[in-house]
Amino acid sequence: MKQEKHESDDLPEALIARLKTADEPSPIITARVDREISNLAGKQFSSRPDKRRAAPVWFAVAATMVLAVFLIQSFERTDTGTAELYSDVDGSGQIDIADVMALARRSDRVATDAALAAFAMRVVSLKNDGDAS
Amino acid sequence: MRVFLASLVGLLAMTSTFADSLARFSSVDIYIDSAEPIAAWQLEFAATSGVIHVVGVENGESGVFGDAPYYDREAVEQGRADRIVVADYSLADVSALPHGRVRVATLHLMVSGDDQPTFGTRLIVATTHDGNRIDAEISLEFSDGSK
Repeated sequence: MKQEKHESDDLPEALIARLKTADEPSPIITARVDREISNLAGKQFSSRPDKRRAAPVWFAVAATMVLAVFLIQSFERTDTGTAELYSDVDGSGQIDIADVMALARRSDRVATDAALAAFAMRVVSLKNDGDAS
Repeated sequence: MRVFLASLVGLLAMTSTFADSLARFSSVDIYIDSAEPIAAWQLEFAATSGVIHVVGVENGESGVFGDAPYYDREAVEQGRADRIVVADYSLADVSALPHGRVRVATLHLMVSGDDQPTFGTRLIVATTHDGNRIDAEISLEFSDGSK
């Protein structure tokens, strides 16, 4: 097979132009240029209405109200539970483990597990002379 | 506490040939006999003669009462529990609560002196799941550790 060999140093003009473009040095982003771009971007975005800020305000108000209601109710439960701790809950005439159980069995669970345990420990404390009355 | 008890038992084994005036260890099983299911109980235990100190409290045979009953841990740990109040309750369903003769606790004692101590126990309260008082009987079985 006869091979044809092209021996020509002349490249197409279009190719030469593209190669020249590739050889051009890359633009250097200086700090000044970076600040200018940042300022332009900030101006552009600040001119837009920030729809995201409107929703969080209402959301924060609603969340605060819900939290406040929850905390108030929690304090009310705690106050009730605290008042009944270390007392004759079942009205038997003496303070004993049955009072702890009665408090624990309340459906509204006014006392925490820790408070119930503390109540029980006080009932059995030898400092109470035995029956915590 | 287990290491402490094991060490004390080991010490007792090594000195078994000595006089009885050395401290020795024993245990007392406490039972409550009730025809109705027991949801809460409280008792007091003390020696009526002799010198004893409660060195440990073990749970009873029923799993509904949890891992350990309530008692004055500080007094036991400080070695000043010459008497003790023990109590517990359960929120388990009534069908799971124990009845009949139930071992509710085992007390581990350190006995001092030559005299064999005698003990007394009082059932302060026993109730059903809804808080009604139970007319139950309390009893105990003493083990001198030789068994």
